[in-house]
Amino acid sequence: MKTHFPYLDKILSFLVVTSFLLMIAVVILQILARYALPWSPNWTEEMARFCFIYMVALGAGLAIQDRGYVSVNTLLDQLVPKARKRLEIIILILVIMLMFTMFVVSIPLVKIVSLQTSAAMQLNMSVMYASMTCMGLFVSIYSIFQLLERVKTN
Amino acid sequence: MTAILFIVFLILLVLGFPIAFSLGISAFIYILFSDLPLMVIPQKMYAGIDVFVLLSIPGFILAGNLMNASGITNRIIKFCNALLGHIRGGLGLANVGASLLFGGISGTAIADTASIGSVMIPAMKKEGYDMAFSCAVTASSSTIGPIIPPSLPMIIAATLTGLSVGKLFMAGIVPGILLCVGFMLVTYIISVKRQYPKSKRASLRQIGKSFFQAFWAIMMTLLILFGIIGGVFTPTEASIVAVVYAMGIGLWVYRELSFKAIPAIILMSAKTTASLMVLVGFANLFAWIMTVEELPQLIADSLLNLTENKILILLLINLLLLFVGAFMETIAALLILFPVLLGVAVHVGVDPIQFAIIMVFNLVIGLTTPPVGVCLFVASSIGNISLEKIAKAGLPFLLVSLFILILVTYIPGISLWLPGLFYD
Repeated sequence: MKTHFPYLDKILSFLVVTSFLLMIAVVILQILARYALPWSPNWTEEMARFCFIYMVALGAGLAIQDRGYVSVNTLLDQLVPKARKRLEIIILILVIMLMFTMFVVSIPLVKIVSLQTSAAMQLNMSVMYASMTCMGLFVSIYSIFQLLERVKTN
Repeated sequence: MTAILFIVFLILLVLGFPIAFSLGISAFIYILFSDLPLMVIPQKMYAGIDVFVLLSIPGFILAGNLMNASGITNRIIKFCNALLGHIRGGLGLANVGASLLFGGISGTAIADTASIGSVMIPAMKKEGYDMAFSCAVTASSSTIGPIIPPSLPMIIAATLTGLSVGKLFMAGIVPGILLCVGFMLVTYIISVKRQYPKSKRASLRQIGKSFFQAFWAIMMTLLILFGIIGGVFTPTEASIVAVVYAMGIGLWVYRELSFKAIPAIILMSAKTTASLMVLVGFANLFAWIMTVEELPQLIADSLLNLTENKILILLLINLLLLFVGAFMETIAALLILFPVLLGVAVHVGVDPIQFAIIMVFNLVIGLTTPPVGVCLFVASSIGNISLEKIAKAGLPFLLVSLFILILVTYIPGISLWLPGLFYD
């Protein structure tokens, strides 16, 4: 499939793989620390969750491109191509509306939680919640790509 | 007001909206009409995903994908074939057996259907098995996967209610094996009737050799299980240990995995996880609105008003879940209904662990039945044959599943005996 911003794909893919690897590394450290090291860092669980949530937030848009979201296509498969195209466009528009709203309303949320810090790492909670802003943004962007493609093809 | 939530959700689902977004959009529309702030959308999404146990999901998905890329599927199938091939319908029996072993490294039924089906369905056709039968064996037996640990639905069930993942994993073993035995029995009877082929008995040497090849896959299951049960590591840690183990086996024992291939496998697993977590997040939002509307209480009360008889309640719940499972994807159904129904089940005296098994069992049956059986879809695309034909050929297997479901529902020992042995 042709992508609109090959760089965006590459950057997101790189970040997603990096967060996954970092998550693996942190959990291994947690196990090692418990059995083999003289000290046990208390921040490993929080760090792993942080990696996980960004892996999800950044991967969610890429998954749109792969059509990785499970859906029930029984009805879609029975439609004539023209009606199918219309329905698929409607689906994408509503998905964009939802995810763009999430993007917008997550910004004040990020501001609100900036008063809190995480228990172990003393990390500003707005850094964690900003993942939701990313998710809303990237899922919207990739859905728009899909939408443009769908409108163009016959 | 809550009617809007459900009606919109169902309409979107039928129209072909991805399930995750059907949940999100219906909740969104509900929020627009209520006085709830829109900010709860990212808030509940975040709260749904930021759970440490959920981190085991990408781990198990990645470990399964790595094992698959290392050529584990062929090795498991070879071993099962060496063991069972000389019996009539041997290839069919090997298919079922391979699903049991494969279930121990992957957490979902759809992965089992795809991996085993792509090897076994063409092989069975070549040996003269009926195509619909081959697809039905593959699709049905893959439902063993999410019952045998590690299992994504069980992890989700544990996350939702704070049950122990280890206990749930243990509780699934006996029902999973029963299912495997039941499916093998049906395969054998049909094979004898239709005179399906058997191959030459493998020598002890051959069996031994193929066992050694499949041994590393079985070890991974045992490593995960005993690691968790023994308290050596948490489920999340176990999943990461499984990743490291799978990488080691793929790179240095089987030598079919290359370092170069790993980033692509990680990316694929991450995307699978991401789409699943968006579903989990929106389901959390949906479930939260249900709670605000006191819907779980309403459902529980109306069920309990009908009857307080344990046997009848369980029967009603089973019927409801089989119906829901036929239309809805396992994890989505679990996210919305498990917390609601668990309360009812506990009220009439069912153990939560047993109930989790009952629930997952019910929902995975729907993976092989029309209208929305994802394993059927996968099998039909591999075999290039219509869904109806596979569904029809799968009827005897469905009856076995239902029979074992009844056993699991009414005999607590089947699910509770093993965890009791290890945990109390």
